[in-house]
Amino acid sequence: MEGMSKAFERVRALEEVDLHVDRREILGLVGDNGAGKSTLIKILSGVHPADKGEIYFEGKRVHIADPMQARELGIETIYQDLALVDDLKIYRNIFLAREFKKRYLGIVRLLDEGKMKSEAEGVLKRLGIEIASTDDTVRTLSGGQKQCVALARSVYFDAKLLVMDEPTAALGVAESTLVLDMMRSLKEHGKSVIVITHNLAHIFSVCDRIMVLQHGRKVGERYTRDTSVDEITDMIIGRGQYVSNSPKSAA
Amino acid sequence: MNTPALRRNSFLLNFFFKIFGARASGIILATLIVELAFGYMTPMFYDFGFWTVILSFASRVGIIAAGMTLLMASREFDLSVGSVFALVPVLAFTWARAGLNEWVACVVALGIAILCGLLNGFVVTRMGVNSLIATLATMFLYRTFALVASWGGAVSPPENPTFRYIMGAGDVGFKGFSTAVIWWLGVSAVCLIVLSRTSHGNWTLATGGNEGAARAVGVRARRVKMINFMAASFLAGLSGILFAVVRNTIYAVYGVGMELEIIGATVIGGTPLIGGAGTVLGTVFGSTLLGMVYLGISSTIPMMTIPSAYLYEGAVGALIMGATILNVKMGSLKRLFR
Repeated sequence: MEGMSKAFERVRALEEVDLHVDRREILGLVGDNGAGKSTLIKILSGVHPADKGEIYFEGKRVHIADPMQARELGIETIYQDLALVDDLKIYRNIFLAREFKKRYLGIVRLLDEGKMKSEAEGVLKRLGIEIASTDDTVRTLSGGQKQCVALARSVYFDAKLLVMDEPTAALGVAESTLVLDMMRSLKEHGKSVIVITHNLAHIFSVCDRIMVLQHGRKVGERYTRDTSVDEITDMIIGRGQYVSNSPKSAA
Repeated sequence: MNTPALRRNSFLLNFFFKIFGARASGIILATLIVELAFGYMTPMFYDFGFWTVILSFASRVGIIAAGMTLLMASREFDLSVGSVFALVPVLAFTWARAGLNEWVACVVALGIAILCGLLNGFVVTRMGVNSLIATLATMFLYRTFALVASWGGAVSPPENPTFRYIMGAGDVGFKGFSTAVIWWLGVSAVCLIVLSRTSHGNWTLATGGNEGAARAVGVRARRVKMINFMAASFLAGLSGILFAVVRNTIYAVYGVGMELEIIGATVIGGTPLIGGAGTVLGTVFGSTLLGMVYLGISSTIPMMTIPSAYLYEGAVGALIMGATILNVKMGSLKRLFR
């Protein structure tokens, strides 16, 4: 069971941060605003280069220079805006830029809508997502369902590591539960997940391990079962035994 | 939202939605209503011969509007199509008169049209200029080329009867349809298939609907828009050639103001201004409606009182306004049926 580890540093945004996540593991990445969470995952998804440090994926050293390379490795990032086109049908969204085509009359290559629909329905069913019809537009979906469709898209294209940036931020209780259940489902399917969120309740609900960043440094890492909300909170804001050297920390 | 009463009573509306899709239904209904209205005022509207005139008028706008539908679906505009409409036949026929084979002249001139689209696309996608501004500028630029090339005078198409037949003036034999109308329907069919059944069409809709999202998954938004710009200009040139052949002449000033007719036909047809969706079927009916309006006005209001051209412009404006409002209403009506 090969995991993935990363060690790098970057002046001011990230300093010597090590992160690793195993297969079938959900890692929660927490920290207050400006802690460096976004920067860390952007390096992972190929949006930013790291100044220093290495990335290892499935035991091998890799270089991720752009989002396409990250995707090819099997790292898919789901940003808050989800990268879904509201007025486009669900199955067309899932296969956007990767459509199935069929030859007509030997010359023309048109979309194979039947195959796209059935494949879309297949992956949604496999992950246990309930959607009335893939022929509807994304606009008709709830926030939680949209997250699930975005995840289904990544899963279909063989993502191994899913990075989710604030997936439940805009969602209510029912919706969030839907997304958290999806994340557990992904784990069962052999995927790894890194989730960034401010919602500690969700973290404790679904994550196996939690990693805390503060001002670009890793403050601590715990197995969820070994820690508590209070301890994590202390680590995030730098209180109690976790007072940091940074001038902004609470005394 | 369950409204069984509404559902039952509006079987007709449902029928329309199912067949034509919610977007094009509006214009199709409108066209039927206008046809009945004008038909009541002049029996000419039920005469097939009269219809060839209407469709000929419509084809001039419709050919370009089909391409404009694609462009607007990707959320861009092209105001320079009216100028390219004049430029291409001016160049082609001037060269043909100077001795170049008329077909070669057309091909080269249409190549120039594609370059016009390329320039439009380049300025918008690579230089980041808003498409309304960029194509406003090229509109003037291309018009100048046309004026200089024709020195303000008339240019007439080549005599070759085969050429004239194929490129617009021919009578197809069926109810007096001209070949220009065939070109229009053919182009519209191609554009319809491209928009709704090809990957380029999907990328166009995605780019117009949410460019950031489209890019995030790997759609080459710039290239998509570039292709659409080139298509619009190409079709503008094609329409110009057909029109010049039918009219037997072309002046560099022809086509001034046509861009608004074209955008009008597209919007009236149900394609939203903000992009993300498009209906070529709607555009076909939108162009037809414009033809009906123009001929309806000229056949019901005597030329002596108010020139039909003036009223036509006003009518186009009113139709654009009405269509936009109606599209919004149709949208909320559609939600009622879910």
